[in-house]
Amino acid sequence: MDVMPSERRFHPLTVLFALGGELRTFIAPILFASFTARSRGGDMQNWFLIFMIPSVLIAASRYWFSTYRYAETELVVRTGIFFKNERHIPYARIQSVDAKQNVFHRLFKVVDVKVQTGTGGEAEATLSVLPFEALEEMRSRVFEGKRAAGVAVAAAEVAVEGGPSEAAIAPVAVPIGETILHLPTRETALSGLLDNRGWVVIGAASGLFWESGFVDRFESLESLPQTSWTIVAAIAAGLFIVSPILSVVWAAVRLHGFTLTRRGGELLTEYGALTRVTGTVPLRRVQAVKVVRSPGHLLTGRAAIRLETAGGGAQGTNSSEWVAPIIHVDKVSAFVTGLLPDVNLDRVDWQPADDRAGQRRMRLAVYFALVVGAISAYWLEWHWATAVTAVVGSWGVVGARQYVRNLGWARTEHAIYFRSGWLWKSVTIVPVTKVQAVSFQESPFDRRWQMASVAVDTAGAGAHAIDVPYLSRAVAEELRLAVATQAAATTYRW
Amino acid sequence: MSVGAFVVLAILGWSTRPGWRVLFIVAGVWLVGTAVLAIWMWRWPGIFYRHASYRLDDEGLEIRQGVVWRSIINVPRSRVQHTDVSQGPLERSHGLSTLIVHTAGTEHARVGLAGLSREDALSLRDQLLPRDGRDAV
Repeated sequence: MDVMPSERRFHPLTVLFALGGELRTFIAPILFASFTARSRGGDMQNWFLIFMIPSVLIAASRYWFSTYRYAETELVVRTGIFFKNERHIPYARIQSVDAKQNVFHRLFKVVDVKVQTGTGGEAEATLSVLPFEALEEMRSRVFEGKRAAGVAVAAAEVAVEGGPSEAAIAPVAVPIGETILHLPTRETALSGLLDNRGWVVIGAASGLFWESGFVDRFESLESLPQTSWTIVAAIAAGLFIVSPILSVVWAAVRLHGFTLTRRGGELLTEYGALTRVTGTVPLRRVQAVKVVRSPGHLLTGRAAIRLETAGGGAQGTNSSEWVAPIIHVDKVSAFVTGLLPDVNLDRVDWQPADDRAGQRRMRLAVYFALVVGAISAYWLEWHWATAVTAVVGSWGVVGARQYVRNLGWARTEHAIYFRSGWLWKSVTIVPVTKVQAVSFQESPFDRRWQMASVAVDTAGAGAHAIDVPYLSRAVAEELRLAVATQAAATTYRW
Repeated sequence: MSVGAFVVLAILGWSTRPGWRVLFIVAGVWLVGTAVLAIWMWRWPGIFYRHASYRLDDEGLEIRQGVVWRSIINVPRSRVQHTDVSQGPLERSHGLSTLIVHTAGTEHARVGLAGLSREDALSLRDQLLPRDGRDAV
């Protein structure tokens, strides 16, 4: 293909990486085939080669037919063989230039680049792979381009928003940015321990182990008591020793050197020992901030903070970004204020749920315990069934009290707050400008108690969206109207 | 008539064989179920209609719906992304329309308001269009 002088090709290793990507989708069928082939003694190798031909062609063409160039005001990316596609992405519209490097990328000093604009969903352009220097060049080119076009853009934005926070968008040179959070290995390892994702691996491994038919060989031994003890011991060791170790190592590697920096109106994350990930979150895309605390976090005085962001345009393009996988609980408030200047978590005037919420919730717990007890009575002796009922019931009653005690909401000029949870606590903060709709819900049970719930919808709802239950009807009605009025008085910007 | 026949047959059948008994119980349950369902379907739209209302003011659109589970949804004007007026074949034959308001939200990304007359739906849509032509994006 003829290439214009200003056009650049990807890195030649694109072929290799594209092939790797192609083959990854075939890995399951290939493994399956090789397993079955062994038993049949077939000539599967030849079939693999046939499978690989299209992959190789696709991979080679990916390199051969993809180019990009920096035009005066836009980035132009050309792809495709038969259906040629030339995409023009104005610098001013580019939200982020994200990069990802796994071990192989690092070995060959190349990088996977994703150029994102406001539309959300799929990246506007995926340049896979480029030489590492090309990333730096792209970043500065895009920044220069944004600045050239951006002064006007930024001015317009300030005019609409009227806030001083947006004024920082057009700095003179590429700013270095200030580091907001840096996690030492001790903290990343602790976050691994608290998340304890290792059990997923253990679960998958044991499932595989089971499926492989390895266990069947012991079937004759199964009657022996020591075998079952061995299995119990193995499960316990897996859960309490192997799983935490795996989790710690995995988190320490994955989040290695986690750094969050703020540059103008953007947050940049960078982390990973093997796969190096750099990501960008434009602060004005933040729809909600969530502070989450698991029992482990509560014990160790830590918390985790997540941002819900939204892409523009299409629905279902929202994502959730852990900006602080682990953070000291004393620093949470300052951190959140750094993201949302108008929010001060230390000075939130939390409003409780209705006074009768505890009573209502407790009654529910008792009913639940009675049902569980009645069902268990089918299998158990009556006194055991009574014990089950008592345990479930008292747990439910304690839980109900604690749940209601921790339930709260607040509303200020700038944001809506919601907190809930007892063992797992969450606080969600939604800026008023990001409120999309407010709804008031009244179930038949609510009606009996003269209660209702109020939910606030945003473009990045995710888990623990604002949905305040057990409000007295009057309070709920007032909250709905107040939030609707507040939201109506502001403009939403993507 | 058919109910009478059923009762007669039921009494006859009941006294004959156990196999028939089951059949008659099943048939009886089915008959009663169908009758209840029919009455329900006849009455329900009216009940639903009485509990549905909407309001459009300077702030935005407010929709109230639901008989057993009631909800009130407020969509501020400034959050309306775009609106659709749709008409199914049944709606068309009765001159009705459904107004669908799209927001950037997730739960309420599409807020539907059914059972409007076509004129009402179109006028609502026109009123919900951005007034000042100021587009934030």
